[in-house]
Amino acid sequence: MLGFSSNDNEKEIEELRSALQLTKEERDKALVELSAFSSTSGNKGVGDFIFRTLIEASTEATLVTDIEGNIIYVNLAWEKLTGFAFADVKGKNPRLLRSPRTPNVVIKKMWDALSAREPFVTEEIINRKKDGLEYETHFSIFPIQFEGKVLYYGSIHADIAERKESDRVRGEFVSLVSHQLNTPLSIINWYSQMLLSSRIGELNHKQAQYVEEIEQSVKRVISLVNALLNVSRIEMGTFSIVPEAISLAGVAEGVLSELKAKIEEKNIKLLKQYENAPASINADSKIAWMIFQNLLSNAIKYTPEGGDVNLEIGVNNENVFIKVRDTGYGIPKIEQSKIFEKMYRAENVRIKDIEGNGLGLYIVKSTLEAAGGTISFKSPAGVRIRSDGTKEECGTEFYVTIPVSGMKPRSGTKVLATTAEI
Amino acid sequence: MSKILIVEDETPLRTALVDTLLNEGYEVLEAKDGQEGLATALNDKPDIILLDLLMPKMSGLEVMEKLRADGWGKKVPIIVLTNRVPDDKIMADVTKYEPAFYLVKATLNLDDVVAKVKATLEKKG
Repeated sequence: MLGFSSNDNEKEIEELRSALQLTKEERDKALVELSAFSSTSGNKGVGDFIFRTLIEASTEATLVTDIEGNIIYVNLAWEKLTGFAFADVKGKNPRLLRSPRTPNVVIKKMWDALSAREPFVTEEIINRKKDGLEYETHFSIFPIQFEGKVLYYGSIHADIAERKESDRVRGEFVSLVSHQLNTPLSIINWYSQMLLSSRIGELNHKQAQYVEEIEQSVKRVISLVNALLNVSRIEMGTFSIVPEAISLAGVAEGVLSELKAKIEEKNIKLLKQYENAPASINADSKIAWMIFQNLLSNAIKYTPEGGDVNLEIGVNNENVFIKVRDTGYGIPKIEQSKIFEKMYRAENVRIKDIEGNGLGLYIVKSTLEAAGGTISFKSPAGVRIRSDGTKEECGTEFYVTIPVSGMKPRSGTKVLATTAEI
Repeated sequence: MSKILIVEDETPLRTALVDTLLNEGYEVLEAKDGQEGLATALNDKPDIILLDLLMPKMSGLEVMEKLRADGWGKKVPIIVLTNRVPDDKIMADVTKYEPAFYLVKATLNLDDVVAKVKATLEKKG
C-alpha cells in the first residue's frame, strides 16, 4: 500500500499513536511482571527463561549486534532461514548476508535512522543465504537503549520472496489480460466508427442509433480496462510520476474538447476561469489529464440538463489549485466519507442509472497524493432556483491542490494508462 | 499522393486502417507481419509507416532497428500503433528509434489516426 499524507491521515495516525501509547504502558507493565516472575518454589530467573523460550520458538529471524555491529546472538529461526549456524557468524557483521542488489540508498537511510536512534523498516533489502540463494525481505532494525545509552541493535527479518513473486505474477496477469482485451475492443470500436462515418453509405436513423450504442459501450469497457490496469499499478506501487513543465489550462482544454459532445448534448453552461492560472507547472501529464478528465466528466454526468459547470485554475499561497463546481445532484451527506473508496458509487446516482465504474476518484486521489497533492470536496456547493421560484441546495465542488514547486517525482516501472496520447 | 505502409498482424485492424486511409485518398500498402513489413518498406519506400509492435516473425522493434540502420529507412517517419500500455522498458526501447508518435489503439479513434498521419506527413514536407 502507498503511504499517503494528508491532514486527515495525519490526524488518524496521531490518534492511533496515542492509543498505541496506552496499550504500550499496559504491555510494559505486564512485561515487568513477567520478567520478575518467580516460580512457586521460589526460583528466581524464571522470567528470563520465559523470554528465552519465546525468542527461540519465534518464527521471525532475529539477530542482535553490539554497537560496533558485531553479531552476538541469532535465534533458531535466523539459522533456519539463512542456513548459517551461529558459530559461523558470531562476531561478524550482518552485512555478510546482504546481496549486492540491495540499493545503497536504503542502507544509508537505515544508518540515518539508527544514528537518530530511530527504528527503521524496509522491504528493499535483499539477502543472500549461505548457499547463495537470494531472497527479498521485510526487515526491521532498532536500537536497544538502556538508561539513555544505545547498547545493542536488534533486527528481525522475514523472507517475502513468495509474496513479491505473487504480486509480480498478478501484475503481469493484469497487463496481459488488458492487452488481450484491447485488441477485440479496438476492432469493435473502429468498425462502429467506420459504420457511423457513412463512407460506405448512410445508415438510417435507427441503425445509426444502434451503432452509437455499441460504440458508447465499447468505450466504457475500454476505459474500465484502463482503470483496472491503473488500480493494479497503484496497489502494487509500480507506477511512476514524471513531472515536466506543462500548462494545466492546456490539459483542461484537451479534456474539454473530448467532452464537447456531451456538454452540448446536455446543454451545460460551462464557465472557465484561467486568468490566474500559472503559465506552467511541473506536473505528470497523465495525472493532470486524469484529474480534469474525472472531475469534469463527473460534473457533466451528474448535472441535469441546462445546469452549470465552473472550472477555475489559480494559485493560492503555496499551491496551484483546480476547482470544479457543478449544479448537479450533489453527494448525499451519509455517503460523503466513501466517495474516494474503490468501486464506490453514490446511491442517488445509481438510482438515476448514470454510468460509472467507481474507480475514477480512487485513482485520482491515490496518484495525486503520491505526487504531493490533495483533493477534497464539499456538497452541497450552491443553490439552484426551481422553476416555481423556490430555492434548493445542490451541486458539488471539488478542490485539488498541487504544490507550486510541482509534483513529487516517483520512480516506478509502469506509467499510468489514460485516453490521452503519449 | 503519399504512400502509406501499414504493418499489422490482426487482419480486422489492418483492414480498418487500409479502408480508412484509402478513403482519405492515400496510396496504401499492407503487410501482415514484421518480416513482410520490412521487405515491403525497403522495396517500395513508403512516405510513412504505421507499425504494430507485437507481431509474428519479426517484432515492430526489430523492424525499426533494421530500418534505422538503412540509408533510406533511417529517415522514414514511423507511427507506432500498439495496444501495449507502455512501461519504462518499452518506452526506452521505442524512443531509441524516434517514432513520430506512440499511439495506443484501444484509446484511439480512426479519425485520430488520420489526423496523426496528416500531421506527420505535413511535418515531413
